[in-house]
Amino acid sequence: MDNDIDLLDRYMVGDSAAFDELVKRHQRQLYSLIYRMVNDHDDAAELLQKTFVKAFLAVSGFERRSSFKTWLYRIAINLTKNFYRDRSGFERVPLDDVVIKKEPKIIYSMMDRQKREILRSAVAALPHRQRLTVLLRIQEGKKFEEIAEMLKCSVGTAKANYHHAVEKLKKMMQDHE
Amino acid sequence: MTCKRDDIKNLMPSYIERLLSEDQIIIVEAHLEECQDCRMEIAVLKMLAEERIPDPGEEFWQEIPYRVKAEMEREMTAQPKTGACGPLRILDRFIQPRLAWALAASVFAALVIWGAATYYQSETHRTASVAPEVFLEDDYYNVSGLAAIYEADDIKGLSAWADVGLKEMYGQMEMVLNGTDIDVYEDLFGLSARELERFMTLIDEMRAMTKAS
Repeated sequence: MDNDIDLLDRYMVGDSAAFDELVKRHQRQLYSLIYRMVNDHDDAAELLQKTFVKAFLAVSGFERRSSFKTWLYRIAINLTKNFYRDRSGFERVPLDDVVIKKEPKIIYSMMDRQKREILRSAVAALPHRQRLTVLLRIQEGKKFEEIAEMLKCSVGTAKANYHHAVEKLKKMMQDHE
Repeated sequence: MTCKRDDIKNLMPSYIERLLSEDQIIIVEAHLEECQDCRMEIAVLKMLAEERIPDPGEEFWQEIPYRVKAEMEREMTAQPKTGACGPLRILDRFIQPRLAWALAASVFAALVIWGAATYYQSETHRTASVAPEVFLEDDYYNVSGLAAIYEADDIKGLSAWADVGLKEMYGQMEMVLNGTDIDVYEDLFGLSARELERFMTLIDEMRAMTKAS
């Protein structure tokens, strides 16, 4: 299986199959991250598309200091940040409309659902970088070194953002108990 | 009360991911039995980790490459044509952002140095030519000296250009000096910290010239 750089080189000389492969290889993880930030399928789909468009149109500016995947994540993170800045607030898809309809096997108890709603609100209330850090670490399983590269900060800063975020989430959950 | 056991907290994400060794699991679980704060933290992290996102379906995934291509074609069609001939298009491809920055830095440095050289040549206590790097360091040098040489409109134009055209470079210099970012253009790494600080000071002074006039 070709690595991303080989596929990129092939794409840049006009190989359409390489383009398709790169998109298919990264679209699910990117969508997952974007969706967790915007909590809406249509917005996440639009931002996913824009991420790839921006990446491939600007590929001559990709200096290969990081991996292509990290570069894609950075573009997605910036687009999502701008998306928030341009909107007064985000709309969360109600739990009933999404989880129950699309994943009928997952049934939460009433109290469990309330706790999860509180947690979602608490996550949404975090400062942007803290929210991103905790989502990338816990929900996307990224290591702090990868997070630091994506957010263009030091590993120490990434860890600090993570710990601050977790402390805030704990406090918010405790305040609602 | 917040637990101070950072060693345990650092292991928690891996504990949830089931990536710890047997010994590590024993240590973490022994601590959880006696620490309410860490039990709360594990509960929060587990809830976060269990959050599902809806699967948009296979059709969605199959369509994305086509949708991306279509949008790329729309954007490329909408962009104004910069030049149809081969050499110009090659230039578009090869003028990387960092080259443009290097050019901007060179132009700015040349203007500052030339202005300073002209200024010093008019000073009676300076008779010998001085190397450019000394100009930048010299206590006698200041941007206000340029006001004696250039017309007010030229000063305003230069200051306005510095305010906008060098804004991003200024930000990059700050990041290099603060050591908070490594992904900056290579040309800035060639400058010493002192040179970077001096350039930033000059940019600040240039920006201030318009406001002062």
